[in-house]
Amino acid sequence: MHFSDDDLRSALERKTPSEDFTQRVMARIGKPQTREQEKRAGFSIFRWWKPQWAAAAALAACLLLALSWIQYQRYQQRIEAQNARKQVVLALRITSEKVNGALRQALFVSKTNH
Amino acid sequence: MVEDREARMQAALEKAARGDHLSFAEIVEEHQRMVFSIAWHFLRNRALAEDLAQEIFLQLYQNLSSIQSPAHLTHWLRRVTAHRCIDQSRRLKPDVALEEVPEPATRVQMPDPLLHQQLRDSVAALPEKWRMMVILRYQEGLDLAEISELLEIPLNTVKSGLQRSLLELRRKLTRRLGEVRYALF
Repeated sequence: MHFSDDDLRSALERKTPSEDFTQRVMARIGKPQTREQEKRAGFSIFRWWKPQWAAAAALAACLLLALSWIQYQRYQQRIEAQNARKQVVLALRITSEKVNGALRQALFVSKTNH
Repeated sequence: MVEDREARMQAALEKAARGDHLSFAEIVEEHQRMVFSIAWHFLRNRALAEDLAQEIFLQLYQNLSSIQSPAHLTHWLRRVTAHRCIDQSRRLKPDVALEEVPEPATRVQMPDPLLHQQLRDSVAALPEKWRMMVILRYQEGLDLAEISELLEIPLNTVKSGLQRSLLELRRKLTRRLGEVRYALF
């Protein structure tokens, strides 16, 4: 039986796989196949999210953190100053009482000698 | 037209390598017939061929960064498909001898469909390497050097393999179609 190269080419011509072939490949990869599917898949509160917004949010968070740190440092310094003032007042009070005691002692001694 | 396609595929490859899954879908759309057809003509089982073709595209997805151009992509897909088909065939069953292939139901309306059906069945019954050589030569239109490189076998082996495949196909077809004609007339 004779057959030509063309017969063999026709017999072995390319076939088409099932219509949803690409969809099934993409499903196995875990990604949607079309823009429509992508839109549906991305229907969530993060749909509007864009990378440049993430950068802006990160920058804002950094600024907020820096401002908070400065405010915290200032608050700490104020507390330390108040504590130092209280300690100075206490020290002065103690010194004053000591001096008063010494004066009273001195007056008493001088009275008893005379 | 061809240049357009090349440029489109190059762009799709670059985007897909950067993670654009829609571009990867475009690549699958473009090459699915080639990959599926090699697998189908080799395995002669639609479900198996589709499954294998899908796995080949998954493998491609994992190796996208190593693909440099559309020509490289086509070469890569043909090579992987050829080797995966041969592996699959070895796993499934031992070679079926040409004589053991069941005769197809005779739907003789026109001579060509019958001839083509007989040709496909006879190709499917060839030994693995010969079968793949015939498919790459006549479905994909590759020259002998390309087949040799793709299947990693010497050029002379490809030449002799193709010659012997064609002789075997002629011998088998002569017998089969002779029997069908005898049954009809």
